[in-house]
Amino acid sequence: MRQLLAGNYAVAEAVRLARVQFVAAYPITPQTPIYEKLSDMENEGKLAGVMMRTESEHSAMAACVSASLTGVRTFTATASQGLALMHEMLHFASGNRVPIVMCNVNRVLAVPWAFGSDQSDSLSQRDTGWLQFYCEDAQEALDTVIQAYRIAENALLPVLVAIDGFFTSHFIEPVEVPDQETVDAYLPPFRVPTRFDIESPAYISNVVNPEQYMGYRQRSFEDVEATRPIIREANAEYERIVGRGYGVIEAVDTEGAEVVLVTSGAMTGTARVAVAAMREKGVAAGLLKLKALRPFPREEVREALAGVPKVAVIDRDVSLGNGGIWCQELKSALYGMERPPVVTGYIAGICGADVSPDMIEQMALDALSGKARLDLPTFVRK
Amino acid sequence: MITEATAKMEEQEYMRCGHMACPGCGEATALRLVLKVLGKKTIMVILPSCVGVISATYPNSTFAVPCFHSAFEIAAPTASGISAALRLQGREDVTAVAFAGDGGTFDIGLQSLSGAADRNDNFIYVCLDNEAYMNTGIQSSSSTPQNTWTMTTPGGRRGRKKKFMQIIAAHRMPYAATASIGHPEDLMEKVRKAKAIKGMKFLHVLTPCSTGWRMPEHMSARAAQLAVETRVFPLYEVIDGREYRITHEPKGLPVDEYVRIQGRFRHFTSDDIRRLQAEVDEEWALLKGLEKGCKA
Amino acid sequence: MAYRDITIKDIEPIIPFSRGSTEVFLTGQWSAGKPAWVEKTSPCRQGCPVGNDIARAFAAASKGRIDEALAVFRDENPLPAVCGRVCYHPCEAACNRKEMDEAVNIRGFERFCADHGRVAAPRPAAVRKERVAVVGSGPAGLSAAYHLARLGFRVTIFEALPEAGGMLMYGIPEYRLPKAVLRKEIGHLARLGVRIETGAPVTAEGAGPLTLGALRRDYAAVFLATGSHRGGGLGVEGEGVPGVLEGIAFLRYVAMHEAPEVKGRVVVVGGGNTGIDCARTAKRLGARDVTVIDLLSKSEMPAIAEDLEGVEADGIKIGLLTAPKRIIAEGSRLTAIECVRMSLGPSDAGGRPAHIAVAASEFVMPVDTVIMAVGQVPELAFLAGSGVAATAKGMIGTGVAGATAVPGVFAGGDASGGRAFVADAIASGKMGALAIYCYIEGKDASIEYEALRIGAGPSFTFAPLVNPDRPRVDLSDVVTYDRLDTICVPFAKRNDNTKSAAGRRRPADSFAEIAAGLPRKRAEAEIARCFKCGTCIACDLCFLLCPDISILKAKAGGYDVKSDYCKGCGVCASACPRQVINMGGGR
Repeated sequence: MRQLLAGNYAVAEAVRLARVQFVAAYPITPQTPIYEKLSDMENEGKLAGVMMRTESEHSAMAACVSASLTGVRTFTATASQGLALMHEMLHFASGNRVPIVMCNVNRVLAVPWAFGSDQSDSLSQRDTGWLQFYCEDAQEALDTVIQAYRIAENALLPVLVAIDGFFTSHFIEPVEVPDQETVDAYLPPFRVPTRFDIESPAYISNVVNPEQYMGYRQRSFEDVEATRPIIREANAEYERIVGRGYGVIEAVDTEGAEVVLVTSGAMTGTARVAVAAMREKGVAAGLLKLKALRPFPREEVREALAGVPKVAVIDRDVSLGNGGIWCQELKSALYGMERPPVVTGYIAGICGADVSPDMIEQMALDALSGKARLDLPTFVRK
Repeated sequence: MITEATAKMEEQEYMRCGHMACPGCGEATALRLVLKVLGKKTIMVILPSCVGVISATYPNSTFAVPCFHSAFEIAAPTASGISAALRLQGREDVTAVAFAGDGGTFDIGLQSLSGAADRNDNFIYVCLDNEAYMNTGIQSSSSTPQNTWTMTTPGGRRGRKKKFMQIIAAHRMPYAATASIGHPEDLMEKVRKAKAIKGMKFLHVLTPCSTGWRMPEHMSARAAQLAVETRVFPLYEVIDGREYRITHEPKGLPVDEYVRIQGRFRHFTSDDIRRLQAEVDEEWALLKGLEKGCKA
Repeated sequence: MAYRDITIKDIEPIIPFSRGSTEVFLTGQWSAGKPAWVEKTSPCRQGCPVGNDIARAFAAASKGRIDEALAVFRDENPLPAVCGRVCYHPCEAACNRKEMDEAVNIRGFERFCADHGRVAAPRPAAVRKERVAVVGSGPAGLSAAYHLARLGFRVTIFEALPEAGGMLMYGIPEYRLPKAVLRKEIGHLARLGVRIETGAPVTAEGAGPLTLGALRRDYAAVFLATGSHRGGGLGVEGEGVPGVLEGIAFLRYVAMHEAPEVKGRVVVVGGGNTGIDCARTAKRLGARDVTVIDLLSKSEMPAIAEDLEGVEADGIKIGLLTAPKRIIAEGSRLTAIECVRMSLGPSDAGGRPAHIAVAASEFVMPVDTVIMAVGQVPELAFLAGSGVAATAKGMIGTGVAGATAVPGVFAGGDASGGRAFVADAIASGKMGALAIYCYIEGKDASIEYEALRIGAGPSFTFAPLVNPDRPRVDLSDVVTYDRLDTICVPFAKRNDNTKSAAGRRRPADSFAEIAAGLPRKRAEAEIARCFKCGTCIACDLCFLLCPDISILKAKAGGYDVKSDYCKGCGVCASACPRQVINMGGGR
């Protein structure tokens, strides 16, 4: 059914439809409407399970991990400071191989204190072993959360679904909300076995020696690699049953492009407008939307950018000491290509600072000009 | 003498021989007795701590019940998550129990314990208190008594031991109690009571550590007995945060008997002991007053 | 690709999933020290002349098994109903509990067991062919007979008086030891096959049919326990007058219900047990005014304190440091006694002070009856011509373990100068039984005694000989208070015996027993107060406290150690309230 929903509420609908049994959360702007909406649903008896109102995000993730180990479908949501506070628990979750799905509403990290959209919070958690997907709008948020459960429960790995703070979380858009029956056909009830079996008791996650640890790590690494077909399949099935699909990347007008803009999240929407305008003007510009951060869509990106001379990556984040994170990831994926594109990095929209189509056009032209900085990213703001 | 309830206890043990605890370890005794009362339908949570070592490394386990090695500060929410899931699965006949040390309870775990208590989540939290971070080599915690030697307070700790049961009482849990390995029947009876109650239960168990308290290996039980009988560590229950019940009338032996058997107090002067006696007497009077007051 | 059905087998390889048992680690190798459960001796047992296994009796009673507790007493002592009433309880002086608060009321407990427990049917001993004769049925004689019968000998006791019991029957008044209780106690000996022939005095050769010579002919050995029944005189002018009675004879006549008239004023000379008994008996027979005089000072008085208390309760006056000087009569009618005050002079080498008459301190007390209780000596006329010699002090001469100069003839109790207490007489009879057993078996009594001795002695036990299925006990290891873990034992007041209704009446007007035994609740409280030093009561504390779950409960009761896992920490030994556990390996 088509509804006007803010991104946060779309996520809440997805959690309800996925028949999540256990939600542990702690309020933080701009996540709070998800938390509140789920609380309303619990109060009205619309949630399949229970809410646990924890005293911190760290505890929220801790409770999700143990509930998941015991054998129920779990969810949490957070942002910024809360995600940072959870950091230890993110490693803990992926190490425990639990299929938790979390929605992170991207928001800048203090200090300085501010509350705008910024992807540093989730991008800087890229090494914690979680799969990560970035959504462009409320519809994609809803669909990705549901898909995330199927992926997580097949791979036994936790999944982070990121949406832009305010731009996606709070903007109201038309969203097609599937009915329960349709989602049930896609996502069966949770059936990962409990790891706490009274009849066959075991001690799980205890101390190992260095060689054993390395073995588990390697196994996890291989299992993350093995999610690539799982992700493709999950998406294909969703498309088949629900009628919508996304892909780990989306290439727009990249065929024969002179310059391709690379974006993620809500900025992609603005970039679409900028690219269309440039084509109008006769600039051969294209757009590559990156949805998956982990596992990084290496093959897909190389294929999409084969033969493209210039690439401009726009990061709504920066890693001090080495530039935008998406830019780094992209460059490392392209390494070893024959005739790789020249990649320039741009830092824009930090903390939700405005990024207009004009500004994006300027970045593309700057990349095309051949005079752009290559060693360091260029900061772009009004 | 053993009580009828103990005599009828299953012969089955839920802790296995061959674990790596120091000889004479007080925590090992506590773990064993708690699990023996809780029985087979138990899921236990443990942390990096002495219990982490005692529980054994992969591929072995000291425990014959399902066990999970959680992280230092999250004993409580880990148990919260398990108990919530058990309820969702209709497995409420299984008891969730979390074991944490004094460090994981008084210090780094206090916040998350408070949250779980606030929610009255259904599990038993057992604090195994040996009054310092022993696993990492005897560093002081907020459970370390005043003036005690530890490796990080070589001149004696300045702070006083937190009155933890007061913090617990403030959270109004259905059931909280202190216990000691020197009084095993009292401990086991409290575990039985806790098991039968829904909601959050807290047991503060004194588990002397011969290594950290600088005593010969065989002294851990005696030290626990003396702690109780000198009133340094009284045995009582707090129901709903307001009803206090003393479960064992101590003899009121002079605290000197408790102090002089421990090397960590070796530097105590007679003034220190007098001060300690005065403090113990005052706390006992306060406790008696609380017990009396709730009968109004 | 369908939604994947995951099993636990898919999860096990991806996280540490441990199902192995730590029992693969044999932590018993960490230390050579391992616990052993070795029961030991309690100091009360060492202090008891008879060697009663007091801790074990309390242990049985603590489980409600009073019959068994009584049986434990009766392993050593044939007369617990008697000792439970009249013993001077050296056990209580040795009791470890007194280091904590007050000694346990062991005597009261012994009486409780005797009064409430049922005497078990005697275990049939391997009957021996030898017959043994015992002369005298006082405590020494009864004890010797009892222990010899338990060793399998056929025993006959020859008693001169109409009833058995000796001093117990004829010396201790009814209000302290009811005759019905004593008769019942003596009756148990018959169940062991002991024969008692009363009215059968042993006389000197030629003076009657029953002589020592005859006994030596008919029996493999003879034990002389004829006691000490001839009271001494005062050695003062006028003491031959009627109305001046000898104390032992007086008590005997009362016991036989032939009491002389005792009215008016009575003075008892001598404040020992006999004198006190005479005074209290006289009061009950109607004497208006009774005074006991003794030349000793209070601190030197041999009578036990509770008897002195009874004297004052009966309204009897006591005059200490007072000696008789002269009996005054008018013709053959006793009218008064003249006494003189004494003072203490310098002490001799043994610490005993001299008693010096104070000049011009004489005074006269009008009196109707004087009872002399100044000590007694054995009557040994019956030994004339037997070869058994008397000592200078008039006792039967004995050497090691009661042997007399005549082979096969042994002596004990008051007759051979033993300590004049019931418990010591019983112990003496027990030693006599050991001596006779060794004599007949051709064993060395000293060596046998050493093996059976309790602690530093002098008591010993026959248990290894007559009761081999009692658990092994280390008789040489006496548990002192510092070795016990009594930290958790609560303080508790001692439960003393109460007074019976008759005992509470003032003045005393009947011979009904003064002391009532412990009521059940108080007995149970007293049983709880005993630590049971050295005896395992299966309290399970060691089992519960073992951090390594390495103590097992053995099927037959008791405990075992899992040597493969025990780390030898010694917590079990340290926490045992009774110090039963020994840590081996040099701990």
